[in-house]
Amino acid sequence: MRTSDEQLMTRCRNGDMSAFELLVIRYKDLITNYIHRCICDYHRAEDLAQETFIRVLKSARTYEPKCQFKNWIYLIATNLCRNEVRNRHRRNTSFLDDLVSEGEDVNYSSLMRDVSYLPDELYEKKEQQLMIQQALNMLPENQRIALNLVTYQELRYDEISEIMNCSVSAVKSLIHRARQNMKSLLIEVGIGESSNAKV
Amino acid sequence: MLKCDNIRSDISAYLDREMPLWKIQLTKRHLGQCPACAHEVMRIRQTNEALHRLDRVKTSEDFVSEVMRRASAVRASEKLRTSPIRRIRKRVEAAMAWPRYSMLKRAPSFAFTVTFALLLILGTFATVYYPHGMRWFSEDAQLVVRSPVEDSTLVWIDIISTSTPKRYLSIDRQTTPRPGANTSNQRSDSQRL
Repeated sequence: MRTSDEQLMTRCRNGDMSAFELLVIRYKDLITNYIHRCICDYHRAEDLAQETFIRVLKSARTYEPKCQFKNWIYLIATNLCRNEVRNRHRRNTSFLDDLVSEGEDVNYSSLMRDVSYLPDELYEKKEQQLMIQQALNMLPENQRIALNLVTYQELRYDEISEIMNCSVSAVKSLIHRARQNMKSLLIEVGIGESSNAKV
Repeated sequence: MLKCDNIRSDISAYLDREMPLWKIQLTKRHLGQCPACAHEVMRIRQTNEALHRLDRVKTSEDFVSEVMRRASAVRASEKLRTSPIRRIRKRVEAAMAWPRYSMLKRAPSFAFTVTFALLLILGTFATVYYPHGMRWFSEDAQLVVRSPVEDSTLVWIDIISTSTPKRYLSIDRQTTPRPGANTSNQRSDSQRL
């Protein structure tokens, strides 16, 4: 039988480091991916994911299993992401600064210097991914976080409302607006224009 | 029957299955009849698919070991920060927290009760161990008994002293007789004096 996250956290509160290690193994990929989608910087995302787990450990003594552990850890990660984005804005460094500048005509071939060694399809795929990521980063912060949580982390609206500290209807509205904005942005760059309607 | 506006605002909830089953059925029926709404749903679905095209990243191999190294460092620093004396003080503070809070909360009634109890104890103590009163009280009582005797002696000395009584009262009556007063009485008074 699988031990629940809350039970592991209770053991961790009592000083059991093996329980903490198990939690890290369970959540490392989820949290790193989530942060990576938010800040778009792999190395920094790993650092922040580590920081998330350290914060979990530090606040283990005050942890009360009132809400789900998953929501709690995502809340910590979300706060760290928000701080990171705020700090970047203060430093005047935008997303994808290490990859691209936010110009209109992006020269993608210069981004990936070893592109000549890749097959065309892979190059095209990478190019599309870059454009999607860029469109995602152009969304307002709340919309981006909500869309990230529902699309990549597959959380329910009520769980997202707990993480974002707002009502379920607000989450519903945020996600709807985020998808509408993404739709417009992707159509602009020529992604998602197929006419196969699946209802 | 749902209208197009209602459907379009709920497309995301419909795709995420975040609406009741009866509403999902109504939406499905509407989409079957309305090509514009069906096209909109298709667009949003394509957007979702595009979002899923992004690759998932994997954490580095030494991620867990690095986190555990930092975690053990955090635990060690926490232990260092809390010296034995501080730990004992914290425990004492934790143990005294409730009585202190309780005392602060009930301070007036507590003070009244303590004062009353102290007075009661003192009174009982004095009554049991000094039933005839304190020593200095008894000395005062002797003084009070003695002093009237001495006073009476002095008064007796006054009495034996020879001095003629003064006659101011009778002289006044003679000099200022009241109008209509009895003259026979006046005469008898002067004879008596």
